[in-house]
Amino acid sequence: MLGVGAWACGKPGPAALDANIKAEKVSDLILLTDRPPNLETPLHYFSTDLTPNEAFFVRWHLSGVPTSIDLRTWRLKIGGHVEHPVELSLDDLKKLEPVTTVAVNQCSGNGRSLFSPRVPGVQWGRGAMGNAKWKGVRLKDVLAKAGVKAGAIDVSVRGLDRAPLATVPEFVKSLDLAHAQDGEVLVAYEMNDAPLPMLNGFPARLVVPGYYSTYWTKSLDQIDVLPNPFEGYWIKKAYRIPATPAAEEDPASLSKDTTPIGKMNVQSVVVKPERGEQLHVNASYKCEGVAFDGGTGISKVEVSTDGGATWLPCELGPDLGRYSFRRFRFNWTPNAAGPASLRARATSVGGETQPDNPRWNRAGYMKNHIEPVDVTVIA
Amino acid sequence: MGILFFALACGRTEPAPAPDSNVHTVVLPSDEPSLPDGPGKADVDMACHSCHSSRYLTSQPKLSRKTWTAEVDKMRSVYGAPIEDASAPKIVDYLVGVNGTE
Repeated sequence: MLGVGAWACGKPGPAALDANIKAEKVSDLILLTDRPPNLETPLHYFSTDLTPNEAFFVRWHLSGVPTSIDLRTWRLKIGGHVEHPVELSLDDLKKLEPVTTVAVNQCSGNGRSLFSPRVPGVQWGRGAMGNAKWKGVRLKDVLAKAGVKAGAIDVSVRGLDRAPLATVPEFVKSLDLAHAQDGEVLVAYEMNDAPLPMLNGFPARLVVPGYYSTYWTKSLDQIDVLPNPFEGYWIKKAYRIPATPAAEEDPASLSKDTTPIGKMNVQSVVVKPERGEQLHVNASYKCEGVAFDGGTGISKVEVSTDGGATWLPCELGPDLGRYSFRRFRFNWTPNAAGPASLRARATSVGGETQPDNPRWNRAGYMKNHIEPVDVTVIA
Repeated sequence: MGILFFALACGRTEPAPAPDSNVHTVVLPSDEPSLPDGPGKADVDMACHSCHSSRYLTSQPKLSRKTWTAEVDKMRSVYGAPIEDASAPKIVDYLVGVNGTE
């Protein structure tokens, strides 16, 4: 395009975090966007079962992110199709029976930058995920404080984030009533034994084990029980996947039939080695990574160092529950110098195995195909 | 320095009060790249940056004209971005020019 200039020093890449945010987050989080903030976790932080709060990825949709919350005035409001609307303080929530669960929180678009053809959206690598120990109370118990009326169908949930323009749909999500009352969905006020960071939803967020983060509403503000199906934008128009097997569609012929995104598919991420790393010939290298799915648990992880021709079983780490990361390890002794690659393949208890080939959809959701980790073996 | 001077000038000697544990705050990151000059830049600055950082544009891969056109249309029709009819093609041209492909 004539007349349009270019960046003097090339297109800007991800930026370093500025000093302001370091009160909550480590300085090597990857800043993909700043307003609203979207920050990715570097892979080396997945070397522990639980992802540290200060390294946990951050994802906000609307630039009106809450930056100051006073617990003296903060209330979680429950209303709609209920017997008696209530407003609960954090202390009120903590009086309900506490529940702790370890669960992976993963963005629907984790891995979007790996789609081909590329798709617009936040260009996540592999680090839009984290595993934490969430403590809170059952959403079921919170709803019971207000008394769900007969005939309820859905439960809508919104946080304190606000749209910058009146025309932008506020970020409201929903669960069907049975899901909201299944006893597994939590209103969590602790993450890894500490209050939630502001950027991860202080003072309380929804935890929806097995489901993509889009349902894990942060900085909770209002929960409404609905006597009718929820019709909001962020369910009806956004965060939808093709209603096809494996949510796959053809770029040249997009699926007309779509459905809201739901449970996570089976996934593994190699943490060590990292891409481009140098390994030594005839020396044992401790490969490791994490695997998880939408809640059946991981039954096995295998690796291949010969391009996928043969697969060998990995040692699995501690089982922290079927919604948690399951860590895996494999000792690899490359026997020739030159380029080499490692592939990992996870299989769930439910019998789902990661696919060999990428599956494309227009929004860049649910990436889980087996990827080579290319390294160099040196003498 | 100004704050210190002010504190001294007021004769304040007591330690600063402890932070209120009821109030939690965060300062958001701010790192908005400047966009290259060119036709359409003023339209982009006006239409896009009231809702999001310029980094939302620079962090995208080089998208096709078709995809940038669809993105601009979505911002207008779905999110109500303040883009006049005459401005939309200029914005698309600019985005394709700096971060797209024909």
